[in-house]
Amino acid sequence: MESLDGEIVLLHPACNIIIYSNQTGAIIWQLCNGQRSVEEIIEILGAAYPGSRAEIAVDAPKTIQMLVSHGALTTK
Amino acid sequence: MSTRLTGGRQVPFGGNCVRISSDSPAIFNALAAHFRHCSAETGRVIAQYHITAITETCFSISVDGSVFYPELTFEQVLWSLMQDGITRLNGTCVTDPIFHAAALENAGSGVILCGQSGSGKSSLAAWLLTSGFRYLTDEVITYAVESGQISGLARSLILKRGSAFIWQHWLGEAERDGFLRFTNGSAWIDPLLLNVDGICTQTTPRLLFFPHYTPDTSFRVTKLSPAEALFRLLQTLVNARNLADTGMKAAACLVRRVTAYSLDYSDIESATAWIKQA
Repeated sequence: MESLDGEIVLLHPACNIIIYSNQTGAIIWQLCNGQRSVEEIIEILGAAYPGSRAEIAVDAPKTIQMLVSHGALTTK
Repeated sequence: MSTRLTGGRQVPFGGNCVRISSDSPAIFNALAAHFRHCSAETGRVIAQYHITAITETCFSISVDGSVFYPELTFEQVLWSLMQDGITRLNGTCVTDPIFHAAALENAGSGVILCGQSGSGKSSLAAWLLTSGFRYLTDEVITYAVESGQISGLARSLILKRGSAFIWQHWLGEAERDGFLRFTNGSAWIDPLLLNVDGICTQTTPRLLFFPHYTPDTSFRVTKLSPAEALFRLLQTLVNARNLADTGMKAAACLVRRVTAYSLDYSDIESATAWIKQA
């Protein structure tokens, strides 16, 4: 992973996958520590950005699903 | 056939080189002419090509003594060597990242045009050459992290049939040294035919473009964040598997040192005009 100005690029060399994520996606990815649920991540982001709770509730699961579908995250 | 030429021509890039010899003077001279600006540096010889003339019009290519392509025309020999040689040089470089990109120099600063085949980088490079830019390559660059310099494989420009308007505009139809036209409509062009002072061996990059040619599209330039540029740049990294961290750190270092743009265009004059003023 390389972080540049708050955005990230993830490289999975074995699978030849490259993922770019903006600052919001970068924060979400960094919150995915293997312990937190999707709901907990939404709660943390909502507390940090209380004016954007509705958007976060929609966008965060989409971002996590994107990261899962590209192999950057696994679910358990 | 004619006497076997000894010595041959070395084509170095990325710390290695391929060596080409031929018993056909026509083929040897064509290859020597269109690789003549490749740097004088040498390196480990990773492949020795020899072209044998079977008849006046039929040739074979051997690599390290084994016949690789048995029966080829004159044109097929040139294209096969160009493609295979560059592939081997890219695949054996273990020191620096190699990106699929054209590169030029202007007023001491490097301009990288990064993209896959068909993105228009060779056409833009040719047009920029006629505007006074100097040529590093239209195909692949290496980036040395410590020095911050890029260098390129300075083969002749290769313009496809769709870019014939460029050489028709600047060179006309006349035969001349350093200008080789193929039956498929493409052409190999010595960059000095487009700019007599047009060769540069290495430079410090300042601008990184990701051009995308689409017919009838509106001209559009978008500034990219460093992460967006890195994402695109990594897709053009051709020797990732040879590098310790798959080239990620070196590529990130490069994007931190340049300003990056995506460039969607259909009109080459608008695109080159924008690059010149950037």
